Amino acid sequence: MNAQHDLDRRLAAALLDGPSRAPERSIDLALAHAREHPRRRDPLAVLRKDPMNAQSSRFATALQPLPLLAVVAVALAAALGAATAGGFLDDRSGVVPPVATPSPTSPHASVSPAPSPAPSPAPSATATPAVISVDLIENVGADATVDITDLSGRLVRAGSGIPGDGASVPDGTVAATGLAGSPATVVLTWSGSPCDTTHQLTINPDGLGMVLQRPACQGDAIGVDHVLQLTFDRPVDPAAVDVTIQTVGN
Amino acid sequence: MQRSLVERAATGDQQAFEYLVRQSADRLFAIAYRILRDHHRAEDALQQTLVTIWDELPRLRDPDRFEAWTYRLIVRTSIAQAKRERRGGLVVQLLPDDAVPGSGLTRSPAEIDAVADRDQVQRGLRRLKPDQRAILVLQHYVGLTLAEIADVLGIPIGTAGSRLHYAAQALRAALDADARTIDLEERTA
Repeated sequence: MNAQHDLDRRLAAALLDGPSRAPERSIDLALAHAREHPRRRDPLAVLRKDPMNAQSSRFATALQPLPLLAVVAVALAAALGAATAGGFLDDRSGVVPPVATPSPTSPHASVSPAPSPAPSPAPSATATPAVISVDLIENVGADATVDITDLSGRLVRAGSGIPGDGASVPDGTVAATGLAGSPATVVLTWSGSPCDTTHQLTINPDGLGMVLQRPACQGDAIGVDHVLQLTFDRPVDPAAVDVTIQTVGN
Repeated sequence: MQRSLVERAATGDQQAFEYLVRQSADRLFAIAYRILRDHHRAEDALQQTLVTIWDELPRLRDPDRFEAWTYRLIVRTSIAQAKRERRGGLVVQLLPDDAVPGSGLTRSPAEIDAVADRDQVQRGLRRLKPDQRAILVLQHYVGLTLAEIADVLGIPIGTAGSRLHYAAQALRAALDADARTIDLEERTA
């Protein structure tokens, strides 16, 4: 304990060395920046993410105005789509093709597995796989999203995990791990840069092979973690998941 | 007082922003310098942080968290700056002479010991990773509690505690290694 106190005392003394006054130049340049960029009224300011709440829980994130608006927009779009297709007026139990759930800004999108087709002929033979957009939580940098194309039809839920500080996996690799208490969930973690934004993830028909495309980012190269949680309709062995990462736009 | 300044600056009041900047700049610069150990890089980190404060202030919902937010910004900017520096290669710095400038005075043995001790700790700090230096600076220079450090870094308290522990352990190891090197040099001389 004495050794710890001795180290604390020595450290505090050593940290007193050094300048304690800021150079005027930095202050002047910042004030000049403020003058050159006068604040305009931002009616959406209240909807933007609070910089001190980057670590907020998923529940709190879901209650933020922007995700709420996104959820409302998705619900309206779904209702409109259903009405357009005659779903409200038609009693026939027709085939429901895999439904795309467009949710460009919702951090926790989900898709229901398509019901098994009824014997009646399908109204549309050009069913496209569901695309889920997940808004990743990031501590620093631009808002990043992942558009997931699920060719396996087994994905039931996708959402952002909470990243730590910095990059926890080597660049160019994706770590697939399990989630305690949820054997059907795989957590993918990869490192990127604060300036990369839109990612594409394609899940192969076997549900285990995946290709992650990320944009080439020429900006500041601070490594940051991106964490994505995928929940399937059956237990998945994370060790069997094979994710290839591709950088596009080089 | 500060709350109303923050609110005014958030709405675009440049005078309020200037007050805030002048209140915070010295402290932020001192933190950046102690993380980066370089005057010019600390100056860059401060400038970048002040610009970010102006640009992002309207997004800060609770004005009472202004100070913690500025610490978070300066720490992150400094760590990013330090990582860039490491990628760019090692920067060799000449340390200032210990003599009292212009006084012609020599130091007493006790003063010399104190200076030597501070130098040894400074060398130990240079051997640490920037994020380790940052957490030690927040605790031992800024004087934040563990909960405040966790808030500033945006991490759980337990994580802050373990990072602090590992940083202190790394510093102790660096000091031991330094002492062994000096001992070896004395023996071979």
